[in-house]
Amino acid sequence: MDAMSPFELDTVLHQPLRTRIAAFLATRDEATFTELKISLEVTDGNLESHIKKMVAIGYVRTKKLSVKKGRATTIYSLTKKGHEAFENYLEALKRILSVRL
Amino acid sequence: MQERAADQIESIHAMMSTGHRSVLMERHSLWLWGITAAGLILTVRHLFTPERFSIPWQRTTAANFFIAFVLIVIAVWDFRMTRQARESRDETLSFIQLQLTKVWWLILGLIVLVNIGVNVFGGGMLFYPILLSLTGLAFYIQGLFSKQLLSWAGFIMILLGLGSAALRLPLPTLEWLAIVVFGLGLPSLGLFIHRTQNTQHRLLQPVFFMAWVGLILLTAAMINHWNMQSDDTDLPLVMLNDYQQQKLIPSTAQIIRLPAGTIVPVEVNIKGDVLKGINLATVPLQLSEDFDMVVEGGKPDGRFRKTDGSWKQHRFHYRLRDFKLTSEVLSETGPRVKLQFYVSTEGN
Repeated sequence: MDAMSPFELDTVLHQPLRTRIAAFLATRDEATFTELKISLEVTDGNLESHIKKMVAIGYVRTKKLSVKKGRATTIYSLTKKGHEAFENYLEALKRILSVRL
Repeated sequence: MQERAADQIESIHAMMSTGHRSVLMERHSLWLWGITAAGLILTVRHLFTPERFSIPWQRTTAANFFIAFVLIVIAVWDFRMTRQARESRDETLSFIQLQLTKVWWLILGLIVLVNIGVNVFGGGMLFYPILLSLTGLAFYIQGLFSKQLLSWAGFIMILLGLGSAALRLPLPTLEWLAIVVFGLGLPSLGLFIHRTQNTQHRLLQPVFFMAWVGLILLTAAMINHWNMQSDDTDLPLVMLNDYQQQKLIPSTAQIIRLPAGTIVPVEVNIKGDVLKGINLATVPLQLSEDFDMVVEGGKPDGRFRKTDGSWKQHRFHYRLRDFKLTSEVLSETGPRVKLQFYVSTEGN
């Protein structure tokens, strides 16, 4: 178990775009790159670089859905570790603000 | 630190809301279902007539099998088109969307069941209010996970359903209201539903919605007014006595005036599993005021007017209500059954 202080924030999630990605995936269950791009209103490059970090640390998993017209559709969803990290991040924010969500 | 945390929480709230409301209702779905529903309301009554299907239960069964078949074909077609549209846009069918599709199919099944119920047990006047209310409920639920506009539209449909029942609108008016809501309302909703991505269009949402409600109500009111009006003052007026003295019944339409006091014999033919009609009973009823009706080839065509009143169509204004059946067994008279009802020409 990490020995984090109650006010210590997850450095991966404590970045505005990555927080929004995690929040969107937590409620939407899963989404494609296009859906994330439209919902978050970000550029391809920006989204790709941030989601790669989340995949690398194990917060987000990818799944190739089907191959159509020569390309596969990649589906992104939060892993169990990602869900836990997101919940812990929310708890830490609440503690900082000392308010209930 | 606290300010940054507050910003993050606000951002999380916004994204969670976006995530929850991410179920898109495709434009083709609104077109397909709207036109299909309007088409079914317009055609089923003319396809499954008592002339074609003389036995009521056979007519009910055939009509409902037809409705169920059409709805299943459209449901499968819509599902395939939706999946194709999502794939072409590199989008998924989310878990919530799949659950909402089940809700829609359940509500469609419920509507078919209600239709069978009113066909078998009566109460047809309530079908359209229930149809509008149930469809409105489905749109309201869909809107909770999609565009807010859908919830507003659903709410209005529920209001129209409940309001039309409360106002006791005549059956043809109810039919046209449903046809307009489905055939015009849903496709026009489909035209705007995806244009609310940017801020400018989001601000226009209430304006569009008000215009949408106005379009439905105005169109339904205009069609109803056009259907109800009947001006046949040019037809020749014949008194009942003169009409009866004619040797041949004229095939052309004419207005027959039944003066106040005319006796109208009402033939009553009641049967039942423990009843056997011995004689056809005739109940004489007397007109309390002058009554004009358009008659063609010996049969009224449905247009009538009361003393100095405007012309009316019987399908909009004629209603039997307040049915009451009581029975008693007295020592003097033995068993006796009383049947009472009220005949209204005011449509209420």
